[in-house]
Amino acid sequence: MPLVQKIFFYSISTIIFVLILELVRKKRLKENYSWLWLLISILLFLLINQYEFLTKIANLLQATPTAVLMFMGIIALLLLVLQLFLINSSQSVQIKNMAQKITLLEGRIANKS
Amino acid sequence: MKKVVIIPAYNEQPRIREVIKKIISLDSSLDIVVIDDGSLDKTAHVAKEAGAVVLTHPFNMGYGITLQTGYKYALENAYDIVIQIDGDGQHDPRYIPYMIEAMLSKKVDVVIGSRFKTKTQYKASINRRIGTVIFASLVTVIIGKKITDPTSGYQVITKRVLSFLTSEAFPYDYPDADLLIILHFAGFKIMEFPMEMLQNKNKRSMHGGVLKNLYYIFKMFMSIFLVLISENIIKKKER
Repeated sequence: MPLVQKIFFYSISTIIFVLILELVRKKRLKENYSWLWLLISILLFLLINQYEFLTKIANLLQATPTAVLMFMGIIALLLLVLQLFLINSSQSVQIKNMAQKITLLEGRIANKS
Repeated sequence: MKKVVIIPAYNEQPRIREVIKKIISLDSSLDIVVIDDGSLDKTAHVAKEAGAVVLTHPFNMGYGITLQTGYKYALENAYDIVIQIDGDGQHDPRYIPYMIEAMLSKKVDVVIGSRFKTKTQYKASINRRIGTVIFASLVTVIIGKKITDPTSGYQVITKRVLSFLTSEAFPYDYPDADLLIILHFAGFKIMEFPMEMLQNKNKRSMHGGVLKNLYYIFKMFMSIFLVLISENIIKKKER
């Protein structure tokens, strides 16, 4: 991998890693939502280091190592989107239950008065 | 026996009073609860004035969730029988005593008011008719019992079903054919009761719009498929 590309990907992975840690430290991102981001940045870092492994996958897919890296990035983003949908789905259920509880409690209060 | 009529309602101000009055004139001992799904008009106010207990959602959440709020109310207040009818005046309350009687005599858990069990004046749109025939056939094959109107919102249910309907197993995103299949696999007995339903020309259907229709079909097929897979898994585990 050309040095410029290496530096680019190292920078990206480091920026993601530091940014996520900083967001968690400032309590702007919850720990349970940060793990996938951190994992992705670490994997990116390791893949750039393990260039031979990357080349093997690239040969298998008949693509360049850089294209493989980009493709993996897209997969990682899809995983992040999936995680968001999972969180969203579980929160929808929680919001539904909470709204129903409020409705029932308000009804109980209104009918007593 | 404690009985309650639950009426999910969204923007039903012009119709809700009439529905409540009809129920009261039929049987004044019935408790009536209107669940207002965040209406933009005065549905809640009119319903309260007409003599119903009103529960108001803080925002619009959809028909299925509104129904479930009614089930939760019924469960909390230990009702034995729950009658659910729509707030748009399409369901004639005069069938209530007959449906309850059928439920008790046949010892079933759910009685569905069917528009198609016998020939009636009710005329569904061609899209709705096709959808109903497809899903009714599917339910009939899966549960092994003839079902003609799986989308009917006119139902009578026993308290035995309430804890199930208030759980997360309840498919609150269009609870129709898939709910019947889930209830069947959960061991509840279902029957249909023939009835005449009135046309409502002033109101849009909850399945209105091409996208909503497509989503409904997708959701229903997926939900039924998943129920069947789960059922097979359960059966395999039991073996």
